[in-house]
Amino acid sequence: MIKTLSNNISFLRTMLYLSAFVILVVGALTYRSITEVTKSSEMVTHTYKVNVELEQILSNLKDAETGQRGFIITRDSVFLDSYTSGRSKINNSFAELKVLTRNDTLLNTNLIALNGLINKRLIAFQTSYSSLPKDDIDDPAFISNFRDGKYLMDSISVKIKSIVSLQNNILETRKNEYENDLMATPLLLFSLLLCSLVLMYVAYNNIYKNIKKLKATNEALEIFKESTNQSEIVSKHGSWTWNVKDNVFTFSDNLYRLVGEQPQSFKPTIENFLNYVHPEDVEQLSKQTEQMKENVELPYIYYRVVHKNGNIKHLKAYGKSLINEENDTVLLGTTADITDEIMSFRALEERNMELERNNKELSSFNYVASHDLQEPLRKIQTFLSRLEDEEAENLSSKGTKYIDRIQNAATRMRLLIDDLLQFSRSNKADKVIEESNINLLLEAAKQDLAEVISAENAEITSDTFPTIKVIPFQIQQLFINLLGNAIKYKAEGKTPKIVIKHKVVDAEDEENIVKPKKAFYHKITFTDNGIGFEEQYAEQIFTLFSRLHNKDEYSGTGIGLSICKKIVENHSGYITASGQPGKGAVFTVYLPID
Amino acid sequence: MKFFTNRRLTVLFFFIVIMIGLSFNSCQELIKNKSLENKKTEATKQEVKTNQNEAKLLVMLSKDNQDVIQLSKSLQKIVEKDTVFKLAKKIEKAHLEIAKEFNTVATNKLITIPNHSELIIEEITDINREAKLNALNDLKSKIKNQLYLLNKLDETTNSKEFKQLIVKADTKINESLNKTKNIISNLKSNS
Repeated sequence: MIKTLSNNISFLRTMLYLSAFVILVVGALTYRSITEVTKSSEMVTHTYKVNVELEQILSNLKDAETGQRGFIITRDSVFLDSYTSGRSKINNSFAELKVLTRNDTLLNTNLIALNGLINKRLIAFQTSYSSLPKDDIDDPAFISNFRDGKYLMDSISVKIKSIVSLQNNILETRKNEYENDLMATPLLLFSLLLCSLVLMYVAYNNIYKNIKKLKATNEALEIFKESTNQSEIVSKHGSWTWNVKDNVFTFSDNLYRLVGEQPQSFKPTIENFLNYVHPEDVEQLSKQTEQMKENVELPYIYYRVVHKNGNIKHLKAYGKSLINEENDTVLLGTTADITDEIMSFRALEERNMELERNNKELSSFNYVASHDLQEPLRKIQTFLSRLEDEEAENLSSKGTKYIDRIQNAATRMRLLIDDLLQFSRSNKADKVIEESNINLLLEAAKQDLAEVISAENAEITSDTFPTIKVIPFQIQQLFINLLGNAIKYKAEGKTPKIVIKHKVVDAEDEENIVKPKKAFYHKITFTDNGIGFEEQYAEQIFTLFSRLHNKDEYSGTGIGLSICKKIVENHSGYITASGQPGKGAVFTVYLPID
Repeated sequence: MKFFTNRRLTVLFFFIVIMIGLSFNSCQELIKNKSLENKKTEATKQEVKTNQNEAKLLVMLSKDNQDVIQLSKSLQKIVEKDTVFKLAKKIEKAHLEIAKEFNTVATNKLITIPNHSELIIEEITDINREAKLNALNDLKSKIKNQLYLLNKLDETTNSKEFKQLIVKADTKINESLNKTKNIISNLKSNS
């Protein structure tokens, strides 16, 4: 889920804004902390400065006192320098203190008191050497003055100490504040740095992964593009895109080749493309293009293009609309060169027409020939019969023999013509496949063979058939031919027994079914106890005019089984035969189930 | 305007503009703060210097004032005429008041000022006109010096207290000067 989330662009954007917010907040706190540190540092410095000035005042007073003592002892005015300059130094210190204690009322009050004491001390200094007896340090007034001076000095020291002590308390507080601020600042700075580093690393990681992915995707895209180009060339396709909003087209390289030009040899616009379209198709294509603009869709369209060398190519185009990330509609289209297919189709059409014509002619020929041949044949047989009937006593034995032979030949010819006619009728064209009751068709076939069945006492047993989609009269003919053969080729001294079985089989389980078109088939087997045949002739017997026995042994034209094969093929089925000489034969018919 | 139809670009554009603006503003603030900081430091130094000058001038004024008091006291000892004596007394009184005011201001302003004169005035044995004139001239020059110092203080200070003191002291000191000049002219005319 995290991976999915991290790939989500909205999530990434949110994380970016959140991170920026966190950094800004931490930065602001750090800035504030630094400002606090600066302020508390200034406050600490301020306190130190106040203390320094107070100590300075005390020091100046002590210097003045020392100077005073020196002067009293030595009477050397050089000792008065410190006294002389002491007042201005003290005033200078107070001038500093005034500015430093501008906002501190308590301190200001203390300083005023201190100033008063210092004034008194300075008066005492002055008194001690200006108004008292000279050279008489034992004078009580002198000693009293000195003592007063000492008391004043002590008071001043105590005052200064108390002020300094107050300041030190304040200093302690300020130092604590300063230290706290100082401690917080590097932590905040460090956390800011850490946040930034972490974000930078995450961003770098993400970017690196994305770049890697992008690179791989780009490489794959390049390969895909190249393979697409190649496949377009091989399959004679071209592709195009149309940005509906901006009315901008892009053509693939092969699309240019389809109109007989080099890739990117002209600006991809619809107007430039129409220059290559066949004049007869320009109007239609223009209309369809306009419709494409309105409906934002292009169903299959067909048109021709004319190359510069005069070659005409047939193209088929298709377009489908797509909404991109910017909510713009883009049409993606494919154009294929179907010239070869058109040519093949036309050739096929021609060939089909030719074949149809041939078939028609052949059918006509078959029919007409059979029909027309029958008439004279009938005449021959008729007059031969008449000859036999009316002129029999006038004919010699030779004549009668010849007439017999002519009659046999005529009969054989008739049979051949009948079979040929049947063969021509067994063409599938115009024959309707319908649901038919196979049992009825079998019965009809048996009816047709009733005479011969009765004559040979043939026994025919069959399963009950389901309804099957067949061409009824052809299946009936099939049954007639197979049953007729089974009776005709009966074994000597045996009553012909024909067993007809039916079942539904899976095409995959039947070896006889090669390349089945359907999954299941009706399997109808005709098993007889006739003379059989050798297995090697199993396929030959279905060939037109092919016979295993001559006409003297068994009558026939060699067309019957060919007709059966044609009928079964008309039904998209299969017919096979197997036999054992002297034992019988099995004919198997497979009819597909839809 | 096509540029602004793309929401993302528009947001980015305004973000960049705001960031540039904020950066400029921050720099501006930093420079202003630094400049303010410098100005503040300068102002503080100037204030301290002013305080020191005020203290110095007040000390000098006070010293001269004490000298004037001392001189007027010694003048009272050597004059004969009652009127001159009274004038000298008035001068002394006026300058004692001035000294008091100086003390008040000095206390409030944390300035220590001398409360005694350090003038060594020798006993005048021969009280002649010349000696009197010399004493009066000394007084006059001290008073004039006071006026000069008051003027300097007026130029130096911006303090309301000092200004009020200057006004009061100026009047009184001018009166003293006039009185001294009267005494001198009296003395000269009587000779």
